[in-house]
Amino acid sequence: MHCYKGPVPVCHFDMYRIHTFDDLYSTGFFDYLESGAVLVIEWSENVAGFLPEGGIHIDIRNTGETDREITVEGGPF
Amino acid sequence: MKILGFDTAAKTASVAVMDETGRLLALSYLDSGFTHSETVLPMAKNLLDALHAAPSDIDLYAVNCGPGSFTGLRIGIAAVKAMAFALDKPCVGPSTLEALAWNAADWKMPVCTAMDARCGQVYFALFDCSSGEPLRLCEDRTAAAGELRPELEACAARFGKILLMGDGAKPLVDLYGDLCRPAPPNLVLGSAYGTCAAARKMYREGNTVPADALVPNYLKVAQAEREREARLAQT
Repeated sequence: MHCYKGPVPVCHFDMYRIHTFDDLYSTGFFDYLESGAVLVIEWSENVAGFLPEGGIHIDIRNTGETDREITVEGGPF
Repeated sequence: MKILGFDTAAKTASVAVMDETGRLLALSYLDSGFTHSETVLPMAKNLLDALHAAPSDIDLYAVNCGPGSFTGLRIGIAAVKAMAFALDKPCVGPSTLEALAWNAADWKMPVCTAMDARCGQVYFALFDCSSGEPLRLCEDRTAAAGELRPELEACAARFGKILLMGDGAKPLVDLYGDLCRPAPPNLVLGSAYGTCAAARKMYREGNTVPADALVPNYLKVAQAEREREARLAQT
Protein backbone atom coordinates (compact mmCIF):
# COMPACT_ATOMS: atom_id res chain seq x y z
CA MET A 1 0.00 0.00 0.00
CA HIS A 2 1.24 3.47 -0.80
CA CYS A 3 -0.48 6.80 -0.16
CA TYR A 4 0.07 9.88 -2.30
CA LYS A 5 -0.76 13.10 -0.44
CA GLY A 6 -2.47 15.98 -2.23
CA PRO A 7 -5.77 17.91 -2.40
CA VAL A 8 -7.38 14.49 -2.93
CA PRO A 9 -5.15 11.83 -1.41
CA VAL A 10 -4.80 8.63 -3.43
CA CYS A 11 -4.00 5.30 -1.79
CA HIS A 12 -2.85 2.42 -3.99
CA PHE A 13 -3.40 -1.12 -2.71
CA ASP A 14 -1.92 -4.16 -4.46
CA MET A 15 -4.03 -7.15 -3.40
CA TYR A 16 -1.99 -9.71 -5.38
CA ARG A 17 -1.12 -11.70 -2.25
CA ILE A 18 -4.32 -10.93 -0.33
CA HIS A 19 -6.97 -13.66 -0.24
CA THR A 20 -8.74 -13.79 3.12
CA PHE A 21 -10.54 -11.30 5.36
CA ASP A 22 -7.66 -11.48 7.85
CA ASP A 23 -5.16 -10.74 5.04
CA LEU A 24 -7.23 -7.73 4.06
CA TYR A 25 -7.64 -6.53 7.67
CA SER A 26 -3.89 -6.67 8.20
CA THR A 27 -3.22 -4.39 5.21
CA GLY A 28 -5.04 -1.63 7.13
CA PHE A 29 -7.41 -1.34 4.15
CA PHE A 30 -10.51 -0.79 6.31
CA ASP A 31 -8.83 2.14 8.06
CA TYR A 32 -8.68 4.02 4.75
CA LEU A 33 -12.31 3.53 3.68
CA GLU A 34 -13.62 6.71 5.32
CA SER A 35 -10.39 8.69 5.13
CA GLY A 36 -11.55 10.83 2.19
CA ALA A 37 -8.84 9.34 -0.04
CA VAL A 38 -9.47 7.74 -3.42
CA LEU A 39 -8.56 4.05 -3.05
CA VAL A 40 -7.07 2.45 -6.16
CA ILE A 41 -7.20 -1.33 -5.70
CA GLU A 42 -5.15 -3.56 -7.96
CA TRP A 43 -6.10 -7.27 -8.06
CA SER A 44 -9.47 -6.31 -6.56
CA GLU A 45 -10.87 -9.67 -7.70
CA ASN A 46 -8.89 -11.23 -4.83
CA VAL A 47 -10.95 -9.29 -2.28
CA ALA A 48 -14.29 -9.28 -4.11
CA GLY A 49 -17.08 -9.66 -1.56
CA PHE A 50 -15.21 -7.65 1.06
CA LEU A 51 -15.32 -4.33 -0.79
CA PRO A 52 -18.05 -1.77 -0.09
CA GLU A 53 -20.76 -1.26 -2.69
CA GLY A 54 -20.60 1.66 -5.09
CA GLY A 55 -17.04 1.16 -6.32
CA ILE A 56 -15.91 1.98 -9.85
CA HIS A 57 -14.42 -0.99 -11.71
CA ILE A 58 -11.70 -0.30 -14.27
CA ASP A 59 -10.71 -3.17 -16.57
CA ILE A 60 -7.53 -2.66 -18.65
CA ARG A 61 -6.91 -5.24 -21.36
CA ASN A 62 -3.80 -5.61 -23.47
CA THR A 63 -4.96 -5.64 -27.10
CA GLY A 64 -1.61 -5.03 -28.80
CA GLU A 65 1.90 -3.80 -28.20
CA THR A 66 0.76 -0.19 -27.75
CA ASP A 67 -3.00 -0.70 -27.51
CA ARG A 68 -5.17 -1.09 -24.41
CA GLU A 69 -8.90 -1.50 -24.09
CA ILE A 70 -10.15 0.24 -20.94
CA THR A 71 -13.65 -0.44 -19.61
CA VAL A 72 -15.01 1.67 -16.76
CA GLU A 73 -18.14 0.52 -14.93
CA GLY A 74 -20.04 1.54 -11.77
CA GLY A 75 -20.33 4.84 -9.91
CA PRO A 76 -21.50 7.59 -12.32
CA PHE A 77 -20.35 5.60 -15.38
CA MET B 1 -0.12 7.32 41.42
CA LYS B 2 -0.93 8.45 37.89
CA ILE B 3 -2.24 6.44 34.93
CA LEU B 4 -1.77 7.62 31.33
CA GLY B 5 -4.31 5.92 29.06
CA PHE B 6 -4.58 5.82 25.26
CA ASP B 7 -7.49 4.85 23.03
CA THR B 8 -6.63 4.58 19.33
CA ALA B 9 -8.67 1.46 18.52
CA ALA B 10 -11.21 3.12 16.23
CA LYS B 11 -11.64 6.43 14.36
CA THR B 12 -11.41 8.62 17.44
CA ALA B 13 -8.19 9.23 19.36
CA SER B 14 -8.21 9.90 23.08
CA VAL B 15 -5.65 10.28 25.85
CA ALA B 16 -6.40 10.67 29.56
CA VAL B 17 -4.64 10.92 32.91
CA MET B 18 -6.26 9.49 36.08
CA ASP B 19 -5.08 9.25 39.68
CA GLU B 20 -5.30 6.25 42.02
CA THR B 21 -8.69 7.34 43.40
CA GLY B 22 -10.26 7.22 39.93
CA ARG B 23 -10.30 11.00 39.59
CA LEU B 24 -9.92 12.14 35.98
CA LEU B 25 -7.07 14.68 35.91
CA ALA B 26 -6.93 15.41 32.17
CA LEU B 27 -8.64 14.27 29.00
CA SER B 28 -8.08 14.84 25.29
CA TYR B 29 -10.40 13.58 22.52
CA LEU B 30 -10.12 14.00 18.76
CA ASP B 31 -12.46 12.91 15.97
CA SER B 32 -10.65 14.64 13.14
CA GLY B 33 -9.93 11.91 10.59
CA PHE B 34 -6.20 12.61 11.00
CA THR B 35 -4.09 9.52 11.50
CA HIS B 36 -3.50 8.60 15.13
CA SER B 37 0.23 8.39 14.45
CA GLU B 38 0.25 12.17 14.03
CA THR B 39 -2.10 13.07 16.88
CA VAL B 40 -1.80 10.93 20.02
CA LEU B 41 1.72 11.80 21.09
CA PRO B 42 1.13 15.59 20.84
CA MET B 43 -2.15 15.04 22.72
CA ALA B 44 -0.28 13.18 25.50
CA LYS B 45 2.42 15.85 25.62
CA ASN B 46 -0.16 18.64 25.90
CA LEU B 47 -1.94 16.88 28.78
CA LEU B 48 1.29 16.23 30.67
CA ASP B 49 2.47 19.83 30.09
CA ALA B 50 -0.87 21.13 31.40
CA LEU B 51 -0.45 18.98 34.50
CA HIS B 52 3.19 20.12 34.88
CA ALA B 53 4.11 16.44 34.75
CA ALA B 54 6.73 14.49 32.83
CA PRO B 55 6.37 11.00 31.30
CA SER B 56 8.51 9.72 34.19
CA ASP B 57 5.79 10.93 36.64
CA ILE B 58 3.39 8.37 35.14
CA ASP B 59 3.25 5.15 37.17
CA LEU B 60 1.13 3.03 34.81
CA TYR B 61 0.80 3.13 31.02
CA ALA B 62 -2.46 1.84 29.53
CA VAL B 63 -3.74 1.30 26.01
CA ASN B 64 -6.82 -0.41 24.59
CA CYS B 65 -5.37 -3.58 23.08
CA GLY B 66 -8.27 -4.68 20.89
CA PRO B 67 -10.42 -5.49 19.22
CA GLY B 68 -10.36 -2.59 16.81
CA SER B 69 -8.77 -1.11 13.72
CA PHE B 70 -5.55 -2.88 12.69
CA THR B 71 -3.60 0.34 12.15
CA GLY B 72 -5.12 2.11 15.16
CA LEU B 73 -4.26 -0.66 17.60
CA ARG B 74 -0.69 -0.86 16.35
CA ILE B 75 -0.17 2.90 16.68
CA GLY B 76 -1.47 3.07 20.27
CA ILE B 77 0.31 -0.07 21.43
CA ALA B 78 3.61 0.91 19.78
CA ALA B 79 3.47 4.36 21.43
CA VAL B 80 2.76 2.95 24.89
CA LYS B 81 5.32 0.15 24.56
CA ALA B 82 8.00 2.66 23.59
CA MET B 83 7.32 5.04 26.48
CA ALA B 84 6.89 2.32 29.11
CA PHE B 85 9.97 0.44 27.89
CA ALA B 86 12.16 3.55 27.92
CA LEU B 87 11.01 4.49 31.44
CA ASP B 88 10.74 0.91 32.76
CA LYS B 89 7.11 1.38 33.82
CA PRO B 90 4.37 -1.26 34.03
CA CYS B 91 1.62 -1.48 31.39
CA VAL B 92 -1.90 -2.76 31.10
CA GLY B 93 -3.82 -3.49 27.90
CA PRO B 94 -7.53 -3.64 28.66
CA SER B 95 -10.06 -4.94 26.15
CA THR B 96 -11.29 -2.06 23.98
CA LEU B 97 -14.88 -3.22 24.57
CA GLU B 98 -14.49 -3.35 28.35
CA ALA B 99 -12.74 0.05 28.45
CA LEU B 100 -15.65 1.45 26.41
CA ALA B 101 -18.15 0.07 28.94
CA TRP B 102 -16.30 1.83 31.79
CA ASN B 103 -17.30 5.18 30.24
CA ALA B 104 -20.94 4.42 31.10
CA ALA B 105 -20.48 2.29 34.23
CA ASP B 106 -21.99 4.93 36.53
CA TRP B 107 -25.25 4.79 34.58
CA LYS B 108 -25.80 1.43 36.30
CA MET B 109 -27.47 -0.05 33.22
CA PRO B 110 -26.56 -3.15 31.25
CA VAL B 111 -24.14 -2.02 28.54
CA CYS B 112 -23.61 -3.54 25.10
CA THR B 113 -20.39 -2.39 23.46
CA ALA B 114 -20.30 -2.91 19.71
CA MET B 115 -17.61 -1.82 17.25
CA ASP B 116 -17.82 -1.96 13.48
CA ALA B 117 -15.83 -5.00 12.30
CA ARG B 118 -16.83 -4.39 8.62
CA CYS B 119 -18.78 -6.62 6.24
CA GLY B 120 -21.88 -6.60 8.50
CA GLN B 121 -19.95 -7.88 11.52
CA VAL B 122 -19.48 -6.25 14.92
CA TYR B 123 -17.01 -6.76 17.76
CA PHE B 124 -19.40 -7.36 20.63
CA ALA B 125 -19.56 -7.75 24.41
CA LEU B 126 -22.16 -7.34 27.17
CA PHE B 127 -21.63 -6.00 30.68
CA ASP B 128 -23.78 -5.66 33.80
CA CYS B 129 -22.97 -2.24 35.30
CA SER B 130 -25.51 -2.31 38.14
CA SER B 131 -22.69 -2.18 40.71
CA GLY B 132 -21.08 0.84 39.04
CA GLU B 133 -18.33 -1.36 37.52
CA PRO B 134 -18.66 -3.36 34.29
CA LEU B 135 -19.19 -7.04 35.13
CA ARG B 136 -18.57 -9.08 32.02
CA LEU B 137 -21.54 -11.18 30.80
CA CYS B 138 -19.77 -12.68 27.76
CA GLU B 139 -16.32 -12.79 26.21
CA ASP B 140 -15.37 -10.34 23.45
CA ARG B 141 -16.28 -11.83 20.10
CA THR B 142 -17.31 -11.05 16.54
CA ALA B 143 -20.90 -11.58 15.45
CA ALA B 144 -23.17 -10.70 12.56
CA ALA B 145 -25.16 -7.62 13.62
CA GLY B 146 -28.39 -9.38 12.62
CA GLU B 147 -28.06 -12.43 14.86
CA LEU B 148 -27.79 -10.90 18.34
CA ARG B 149 -31.51 -10.81 19.25
CA PRO B 150 -31.66 -13.92 21.50
CA GLU B 151 -28.69 -12.77 23.56
CA LEU B 152 -29.90 -9.16 23.85
CA GLU B 153 -33.42 -10.34 24.74
CA ALA B 154 -32.06 -12.53 27.55
CA CYS B 155 -29.90 -9.68 28.84
CA ALA B 156 -32.77 -7.13 28.73
CA ALA B 157 -35.14 -9.58 30.46
CA ARG B 158 -32.67 -9.97 33.32
CA PHE B 159 -31.25 -6.45 33.68
CA GLY B 160 -33.59 -4.06 31.81
CA LYS B 161 -33.06 -1.82 28.80
CA ILE B 162 -29.51 -2.02 27.44
CA LEU B 163 -27.28 1.00 26.77
CA LEU B 164 -25.55 0.69 23.39
CA MET B 165 -22.04 2.06 22.95
CA GLY B 166 -19.39 2.05 20.24
CA ASP B 167 -19.14 2.83 16.53
CA GLY B 168 -21.13 -0.35 15.82
CA ALA B 169 -24.09 0.84 17.91
CA LYS B 170 -26.04 2.46 15.07
CA PRO B 171 -27.05 -0.73 13.20
CA LEU B 172 -27.92 -2.39 16.51
CA VAL B 173 -30.20 0.53 17.48
CA ASP B 174 -31.99 0.08 14.15
CA LEU B 175 -32.34 -3.69 14.67
CA TYR B 176 -32.98 -3.88 18.42
CA GLY B 177 -34.48 -0.51 19.40
CA ASP B 178 -37.10 -2.36 21.49
CA LEU B 179 -34.34 -3.80 23.73
CA CYS B 180 -31.64 -1.13 23.59
CA ARG B 181 -31.15 2.62 23.62
CA PRO B 182 -28.14 4.43 22.20
CA ALA B 183 -25.77 6.23 24.52
CA PRO B 184 -25.83 10.04 24.06
CA PRO B 185 -23.45 11.54 21.47
CA ASN B 186 -20.92 12.71 24.07
CA LEU B 187 -20.61 9.17 25.41
CA VAL B 188 -21.30 6.75 22.56
CA LEU B 189 -17.71 6.45 21.28
CA GLY B 190 -16.15 6.60 24.74
CA SER B 191 -12.76 8.09 25.55
CA ALA B 192 -9.52 7.17 27.26
CA TYR B 193 -11.31 7.87 30.56
CA GLY B 194 -12.62 4.30 30.16
CA THR B 195 -9.11 3.03 29.37
CA CYS B 196 -7.77 4.57 32.59
CA ALA B 197 -10.71 3.28 34.66
CA ALA B 198 -10.25 -0.27 33.33
CA ALA B 199 -6.48 0.04 33.83
CA ARG B 200 -6.92 1.19 37.43
CA LYS B 201 -8.92 -1.95 38.23
CA MET B 202 -6.36 -4.19 36.48
CA TYR B 203 -3.58 -2.48 38.46
CA ARG B 204 -5.41 -3.05 41.76
CA GLU B 205 -5.79 -6.71 40.84
CA GLY B 206 -2.09 -7.04 40.01
CA ASN B 207 -2.63 -7.58 36.27
CA THR B 208 0.15 -5.38 34.93
CA VAL B 209 2.70 -6.51 32.34
CA PRO B 210 6.12 -5.22 31.24
CA ALA B 211 6.15 -3.23 27.98
CA ASP B 212 7.48 -6.12 25.90
CA ALA B 213 4.53 -8.34 26.92
CA LEU B 214 1.89 -5.89 25.69
CA VAL B 215 0.33 -7.34 22.51
CA PRO B 216 -2.68 -6.51 20.35
CA ASN B 217 -5.72 -8.75 20.39
CA TYR B 218 -7.08 -8.85 16.84
CA LEU B 219 -10.34 -10.76 17.09
CA LYS B 220 -10.82 -12.97 14.04
CA VAL B 221 -13.84 -12.25 11.86
CA ALA B 222 -14.29 -15.81 10.60
CA GLN B 223 -17.91 -15.29 9.60
CA ALA B 224 -16.93 -12.64 7.06
CA GLU B 225 -15.37 -15.42 4.94
CA ARG B 226 -18.55 -17.52 4.98
CA GLU B 227 -20.77 -14.55 4.15
CA ARG B 228 -18.46 -13.55 1.32
CA GLU B 229 -18.67 -17.02 -0.21
CA ALA B 230 -22.47 -16.88 0.01
CA ARG B 231 -22.49 -13.41 -1.64
CA LEU B 232 -20.15 -14.48 -4.44
CA ALA B 233 -22.21 -17.63 -5.06
CA GLN B 234 -25.27 -15.43 -5.68
CA THR B 235 -23.54 -13.35 -8.37
